[in-house]
Amino acid sequence: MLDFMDHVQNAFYTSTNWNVDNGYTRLNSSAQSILDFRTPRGLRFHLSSLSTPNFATSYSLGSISVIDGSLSYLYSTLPLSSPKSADVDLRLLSPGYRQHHPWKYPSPTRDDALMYGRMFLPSGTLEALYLKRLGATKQVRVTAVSDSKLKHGGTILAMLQQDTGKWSSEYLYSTDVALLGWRGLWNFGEADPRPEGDKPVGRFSGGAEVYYGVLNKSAGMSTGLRYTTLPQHPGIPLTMTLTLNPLMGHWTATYAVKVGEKAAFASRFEFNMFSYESDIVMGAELWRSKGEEGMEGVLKAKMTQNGSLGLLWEGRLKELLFSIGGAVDFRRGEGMVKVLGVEIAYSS
Amino acid sequence: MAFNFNWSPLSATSTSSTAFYDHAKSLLTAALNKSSKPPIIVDDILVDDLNLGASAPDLEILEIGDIAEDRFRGIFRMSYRGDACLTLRTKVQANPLNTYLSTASSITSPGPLAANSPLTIPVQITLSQFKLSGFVILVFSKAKGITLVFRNDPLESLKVSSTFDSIPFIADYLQKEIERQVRRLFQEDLPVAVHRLSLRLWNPEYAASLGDEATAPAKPLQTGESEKEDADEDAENDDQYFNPLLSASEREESSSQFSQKNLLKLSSLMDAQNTLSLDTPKIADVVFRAWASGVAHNATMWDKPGALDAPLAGESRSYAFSENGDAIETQSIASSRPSLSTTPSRCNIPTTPSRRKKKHRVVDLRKRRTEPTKTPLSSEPSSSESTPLASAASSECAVEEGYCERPPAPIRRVREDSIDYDPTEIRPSLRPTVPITLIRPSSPTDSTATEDITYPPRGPPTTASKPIPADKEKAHLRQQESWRESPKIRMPPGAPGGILEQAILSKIMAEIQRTLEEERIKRGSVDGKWGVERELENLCGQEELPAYRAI
Repeated sequence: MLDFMDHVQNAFYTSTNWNVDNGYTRLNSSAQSILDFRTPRGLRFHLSSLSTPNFATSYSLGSISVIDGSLSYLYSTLPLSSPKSADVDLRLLSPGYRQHHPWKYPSPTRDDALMYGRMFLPSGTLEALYLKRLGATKQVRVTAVSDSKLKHGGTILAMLQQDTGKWSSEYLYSTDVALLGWRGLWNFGEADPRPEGDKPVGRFSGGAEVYYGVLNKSAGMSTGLRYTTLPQHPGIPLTMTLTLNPLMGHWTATYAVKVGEKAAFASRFEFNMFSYESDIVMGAELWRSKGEEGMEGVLKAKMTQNGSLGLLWEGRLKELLFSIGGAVDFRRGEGMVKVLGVEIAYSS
Repeated sequence: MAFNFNWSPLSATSTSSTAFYDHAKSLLTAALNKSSKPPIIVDDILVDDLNLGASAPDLEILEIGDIAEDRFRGIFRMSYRGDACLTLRTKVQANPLNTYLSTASSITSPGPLAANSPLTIPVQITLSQFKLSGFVILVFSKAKGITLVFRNDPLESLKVSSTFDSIPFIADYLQKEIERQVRRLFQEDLPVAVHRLSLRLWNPEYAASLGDEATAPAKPLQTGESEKEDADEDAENDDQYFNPLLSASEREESSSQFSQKNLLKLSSLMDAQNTLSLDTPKIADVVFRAWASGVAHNATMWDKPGALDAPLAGESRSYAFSENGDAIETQSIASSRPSLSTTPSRCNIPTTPSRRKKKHRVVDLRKRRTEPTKTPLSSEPSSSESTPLASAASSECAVEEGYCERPPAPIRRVREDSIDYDPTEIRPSLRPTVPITLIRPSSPTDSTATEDITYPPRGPPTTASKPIPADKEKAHLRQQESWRESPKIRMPPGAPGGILEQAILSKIMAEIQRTLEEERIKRGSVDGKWGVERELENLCGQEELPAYRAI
């Protein structure tokens, strides 16, 4: 389940017409959200509220080993809609299969900004985020963390994002190891409002990323390709991706398919051609609806090659949102349950 | 001067070395995996191969600061040009971005899509062509183990070959990193490891503290208490008696009850006495019998906890009436004659060859008697008629004939067969001296120490006589009387030399004690102690005041 603040940020992106999905890091987001869901650990409560349309607060309290918690504040120059836990669409909070649409040119927007800070207790770690739109196609995103345990006391990551619809690119710099990075995505095909003719049923996208750590003189890169069906596709929606890390010889192939409104399946196969190591993960998400009002809950499950099973059940109980999950390893006799957790959230 | 090492048993072909290498490998593997590893290492580090090579290191003695059987301090020059090699095997994460992201905070993570894909590579690293040269400071003591320190960085050069030899960047990095680690190993880890290992070998108390020695003594014996302990223990229980000269099997049986350190010292003392050597090894914190009386307060004697629970009246655990009566007797004498220990030249005159028996380590202050009269020990007070003669004789013989054939020896149990005089005959002559038992309760609140004292037939507690030292005969007679009356205070009628002073001291102590007791009786309350006395008790423990013992 998405954090309240993540949800508010998504609302900000939506309000400012920023297409988060049009980026290289979201190339295989469909498979990722089905396979790499986060399972809660321990008991955790979230209490959030959008006090004014521009200001939000959130508190969380958890108990994994010791009582720990965090308090966060968010300010947006753009008034945001209030995501109450009683009536928010669960699909926004628990993203699953991602339906892509034909790309379109960005529409002009205001230069809005968002600021967010979070303090973790009792560790004293401080997180901060600054988000600023620069015209119709650009956005600056700066994140920082301050923690005495980290090297140099903290890290700042600055990112310039550019999205023209047809293509997108991101330039980033991290103060940790002086990491420089670039990543880009290219969408093949025509823009959405086609003047005439039949609409496309699918779309290819290709991209790449390159990183270089100045201080540790290490580099990293990958390249990827995606095919996804568009809403006009007559058959079942599906997304296929193939990524390659040429330095490490690592291939990753994902396949995600949406079967009807309530079910989606995904699989991921990884192979390293240098070490001959391989891995396969399969997962599914099953939605449960309640009449016409939308979705009531979702069950996510994944199974890995080494026999471990991850389960997550998220839903709404009255005005509370809950998330129950755990990981089970069948190969271990006793102590099969490795992780178990419950999260309860209320927001107004 | 240099050493000649016998290195051949360590060559890989020898069968005896297989076990050694297996053990060394497992130790090394455990040591390498114990500490937290850097995130780049994603698997356990295994020691694949270990070979110390065919040639030994050269050690040259530069200086010896101190040398003895149980301690050593010296400086060496060590150089090694051998063919030892070590092969390690592990798995490393070859993707630096993966390693970096595993430690980075999530909010500032650049969030790459696939650039951080993992690639674990099995790595084999071989260290060979060690070139070492350095100054080694070695300090050895049996109590404190071996301290080995490199005065400088001993590593001259080292060849690192690995899976990454074809990639110069990684090879250089590995070479540098491993050299740094090996330097640290020599200068920090190795001294610590050697010290711990030596402590484990030589110091059973340390080993016991590690919890790996189930048979360790329940209460660690202190240095210097061993003699007392031994004498104490054998009076209590013959099975627990330990003699360093017993057979090996016997020794093994009882060795678990004693500190190894003390046993070593005792056996070296024994060895010294089996020769004509005039030199007695010094044992730290030990009070020899000959010195004992003056420092009676300081001598400590730990009792076994179990023994204190059941003190026996007839067979006191502290030198009481048992087959060890002789040992008790002689011990008392020795402690009462400190001044004689300053004339060791007399010690070399053996009066009887039979006294050279190994087990006989008793200081004998008396002239031997020829007419033994077998009187039971318990009836010895009745033989007071022989006292005048005996006391006179004792005052002479101690000076004229010498008191022992050995240097001052620690108190040991003495077997009956090793004593060639009749105890009952000599005993009256000893009475004039003040036998001071060195009794200290195992805890300040424990009062059993004085309960252990065996008293002669009790009489009403009257004031002790105060003999004038000059008037030996008279004083002695009076002392004999008072000895029957008072269980606690008996003064000697006088003794030659330092014994006199000693007696006066003891007397004063007794007088103080008596006065205090009287005062207490006057006040009619047991708790009504004088402030000074209470302070004394607080300081020394309840029963710390010298307790005089009847025999």
